[in-house]
Amino acid sequence: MTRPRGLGRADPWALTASVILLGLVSAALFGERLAPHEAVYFVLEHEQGPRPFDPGLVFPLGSDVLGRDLLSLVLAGARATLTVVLLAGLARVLAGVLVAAVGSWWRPTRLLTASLAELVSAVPATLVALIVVRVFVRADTSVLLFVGALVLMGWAGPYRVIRAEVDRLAHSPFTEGARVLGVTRWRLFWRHQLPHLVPVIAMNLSQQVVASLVLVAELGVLSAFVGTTRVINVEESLSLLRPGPVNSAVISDTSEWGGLLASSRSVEALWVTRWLILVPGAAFALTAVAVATMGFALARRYARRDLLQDLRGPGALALGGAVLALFVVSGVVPERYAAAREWAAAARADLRPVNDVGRAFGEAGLRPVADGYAVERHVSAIVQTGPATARIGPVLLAEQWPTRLTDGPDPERNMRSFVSGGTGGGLVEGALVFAGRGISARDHQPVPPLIGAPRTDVAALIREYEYADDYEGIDVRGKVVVLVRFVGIRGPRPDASLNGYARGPLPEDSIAHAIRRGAAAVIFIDPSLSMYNDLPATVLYRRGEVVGGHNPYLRAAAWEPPTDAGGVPVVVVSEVYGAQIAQQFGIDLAPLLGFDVPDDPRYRVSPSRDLGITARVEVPLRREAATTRSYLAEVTDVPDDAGRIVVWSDREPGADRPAADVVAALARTLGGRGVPFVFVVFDPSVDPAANARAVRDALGHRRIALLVVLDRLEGSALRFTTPHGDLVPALDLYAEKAAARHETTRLTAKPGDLSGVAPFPDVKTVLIRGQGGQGDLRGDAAALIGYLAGRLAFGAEEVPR
Amino acid sequence: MTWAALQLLRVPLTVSIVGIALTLVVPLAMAHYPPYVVRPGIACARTAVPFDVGRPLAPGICKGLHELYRLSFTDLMVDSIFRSLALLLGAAVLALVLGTLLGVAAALFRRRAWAGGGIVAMTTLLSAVPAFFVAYFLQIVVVLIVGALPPGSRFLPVFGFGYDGHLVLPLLSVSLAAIAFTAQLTATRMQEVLDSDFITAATAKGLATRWIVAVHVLPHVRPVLLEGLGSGLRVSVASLPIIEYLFNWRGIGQLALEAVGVHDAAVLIVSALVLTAVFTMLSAMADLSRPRALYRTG
Repeated sequence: MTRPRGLGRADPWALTASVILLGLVSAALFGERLAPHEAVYFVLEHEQGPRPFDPGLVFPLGSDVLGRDLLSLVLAGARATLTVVLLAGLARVLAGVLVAAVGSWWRPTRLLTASLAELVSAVPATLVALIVVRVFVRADTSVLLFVGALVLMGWAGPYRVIRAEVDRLAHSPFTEGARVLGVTRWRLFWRHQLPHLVPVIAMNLSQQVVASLVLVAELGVLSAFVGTTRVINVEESLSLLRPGPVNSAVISDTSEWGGLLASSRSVEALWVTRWLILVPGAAFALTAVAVATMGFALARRYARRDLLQDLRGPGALALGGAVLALFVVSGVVPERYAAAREWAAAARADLRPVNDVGRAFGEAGLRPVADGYAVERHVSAIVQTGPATARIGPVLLAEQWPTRLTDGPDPERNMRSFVSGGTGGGLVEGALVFAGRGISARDHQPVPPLIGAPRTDVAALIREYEYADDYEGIDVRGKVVVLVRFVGIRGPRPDASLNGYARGPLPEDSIAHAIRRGAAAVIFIDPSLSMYNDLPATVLYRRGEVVGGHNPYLRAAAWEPPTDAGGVPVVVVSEVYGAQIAQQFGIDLAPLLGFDVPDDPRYRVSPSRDLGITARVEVPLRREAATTRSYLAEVTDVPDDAGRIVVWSDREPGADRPAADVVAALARTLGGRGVPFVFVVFDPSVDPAANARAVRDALGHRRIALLVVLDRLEGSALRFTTPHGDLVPALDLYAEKAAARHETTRLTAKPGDLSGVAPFPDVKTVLIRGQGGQGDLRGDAAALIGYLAGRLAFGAEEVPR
Repeated sequence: MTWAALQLLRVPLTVSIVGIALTLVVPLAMAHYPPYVVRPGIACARTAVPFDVGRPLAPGICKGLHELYRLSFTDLMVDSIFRSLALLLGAAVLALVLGTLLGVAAALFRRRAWAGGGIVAMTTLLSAVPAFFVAYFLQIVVVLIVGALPPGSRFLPVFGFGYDGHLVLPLLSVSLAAIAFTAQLTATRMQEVLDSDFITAATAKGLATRWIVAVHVLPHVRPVLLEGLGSGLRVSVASLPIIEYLFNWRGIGQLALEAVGVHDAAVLIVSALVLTAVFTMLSAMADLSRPRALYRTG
């Protein structure tokens, strides 16, 4: 056969293979830059219509559940996917060739390798790969491990084919001739046998790449992907809510195609949102066909040609040059929104301490939102001025002061005051009386039967099990009452309530019953106290049978805030402090703290009695009047109807690293750049909710598209908390681009998680907070928000939607 | 011992070695990843239990699959094996009939560029397109047709189990690759035979084409048919789990995938062993019918 003198005379198969190769390489290198949108979706304003969005003008092939453009995702994911499957295919064939060579050259291993290949090819590869990925792929593992999972079961196919071919060649006349001539084993393999193996290897390589591709897709369908994943709440995008984890989408960190298939798997997807399946599925199928064609073309071409001869020819040179050029160009072409990085750097550089926020806003050229930069409010509220204390005989119990706020169980929390509209504060000294658990059938009205969930009727149970009335033998009027929380009854009826447990009355109700009977002060022993956090959210913690959920004291105080500094002081103590009180009087608390066994005769006798000493309970409260001053200003030259991004931080006079400095830095950077930003330095003192309402009133008609709350920017990495799943990938990506130290957001927050921090519950909010360590993260926060602003200014294709 | 007996012996041997390996490895592996929800309804209770401070999670909260499906273990496995075998048997019949016909046609039309090339291109495409995509594609096509039909009219169901219309789509998805494989092998072998001298002689003698094909060609092609069927069905078995999962066809493939999620080691091991046995039997069948010269060298 004559040597081709250029690509023009190359045979059509070689040309096809080259074109496909170049196409795949370009998709892998330029995918992200060719894509019409970014691989994240940062929705500021979109219609309320549920995601995924239909194919149309904005999204040519539709969007995924997070609202990201599918075409862009497929293009952006090409690199990771093609790298993985190519590496896996190569590794499979290489492993096959190596094992075949060993088996062929060193006879004793032949039986072993053949049996191993038999075993490996007999086990279903999908199952093995699934388990390997589940077991080994963790947050810190690399793509190579995933490739390893694909290779583990895949080498046997190439091994079988190549070994058969090597055996055939070993007995062919030309091999025997070469051996007789004294050709070395290596030269025999390289010069005489390898050219004959090329078509088999080429065909096999393409088959193995396709097989890896299929495996990646299948694992994707089964929600096992390359690299780490995060669970993102897509509730707001679903038309129909179902209980359970179905409302969360598992999103892969590495953008690759398998991950796109995972979140698309649902029945609705077949009927309504077909593009979710079809677009990534078609990407897989087209790539598989392309790679198979390439293998077919190579096998066909080299069935009668020498690869080495072609490698020396101009065609190979041109192809190599083209691939190299693609790589060089991909290194030179700047990334999208590269200029936004400069905004990030500028914001970071503008960070410096600020004493007068109002003046800083003025110097930055911002426009006041209200009459001036400051919004003032004169307020008065009831505040606790010191630790709550209780003295019982020789024992003095005191609340930790200032209160240490926790976001989890705190075993050292043994006492807290309970100040609400129903209780109160002040100093009370009076006779001490023990009222047991305050169980009295008179306090509980029978619960009318409800349609729906079964509900435990504690009142009925108290009557049924003939509980003694704890208030019958004592008089609590004007006295200090010690009460133990009535946790409940274990297993009254198997199906009556949660796991057969009947929960006792709410703690604030038990306290209220004592106050209604005339108690002057209450010491309430609650074994769950140490398990309550200070977040107004429901997080379940468990120790044995005792479960801590939504903090009932915070909840009660929020529902019914205190109105004056007097009233009945109430302290809640843990069972540790409770035991210190009880042992003075020989009271055994143990049978009172846990769940009761139904119909236990012990509970037909009340433990309540007068304790014969006086006790002192103090919850110091004071009405405070103050003037709060929050600062707010906006960037000028912004269209009136634009959705604003509000950057919000609290005023922290005396703090070492106030977040307000970040707000001032951003004000300086963004001041003259016409981006729709509003800056708020908020004064939370006395009555945060009312102060926030005042700020909202000042903002008036302006629409708030996003609220960025900056909080405690100290630590080693920023952490983002938001219940809005679509913000999560965007924030992580922007933080990475802005070189801001951050923690990858793995979970979407529950809507309740922000209720103590987010000033406006109805606005899309993200909380940025430092995490771990003592470092200064204010520069990182400024850079992140600076990048966000730049990204918005240089192209926010989603905004017009 | 004869070659054939050795080939048959490798089935129980492979199955028992794989069985021992799985029994050792699977429970160990399951201890290293948390259970997860495979599909709505098939979930572990463990995810619903409150986070326990300072105490490891109690084992055994996950229910076995037979409890979730409310069947005895034996019933569940036997029933599922039959469901999967139904798919494989159907795929075998389709591959034999359609694959052979396509292969013979491709060989006979080898001189006509469009017809022969068309069949080759189609079989190549079918063997390259992943089975899961075929499944999705067929489901969507049927949904589109159902959507276009007047309300109340019936068409193929797109998922679920039943030895009726339910069988069509999963069967097609599972068998397309096997059909393509059989067709390609048949076509290659038949072309070789058609080009050989004795066929030229027969044609020169003036024998009818039909007679030549039936009497002189097909007997030479028959061994390849079995080999093609064996190799093609191996592809079907490999894609069985994902196809069953996508069509909610509760065979052993789907059971195995669900068992991985809910930590049911027993179901996983038994299902994997059944798949392994089928796989090895098909391999043995393919090897037995393959010309032996290739492998006798060692």
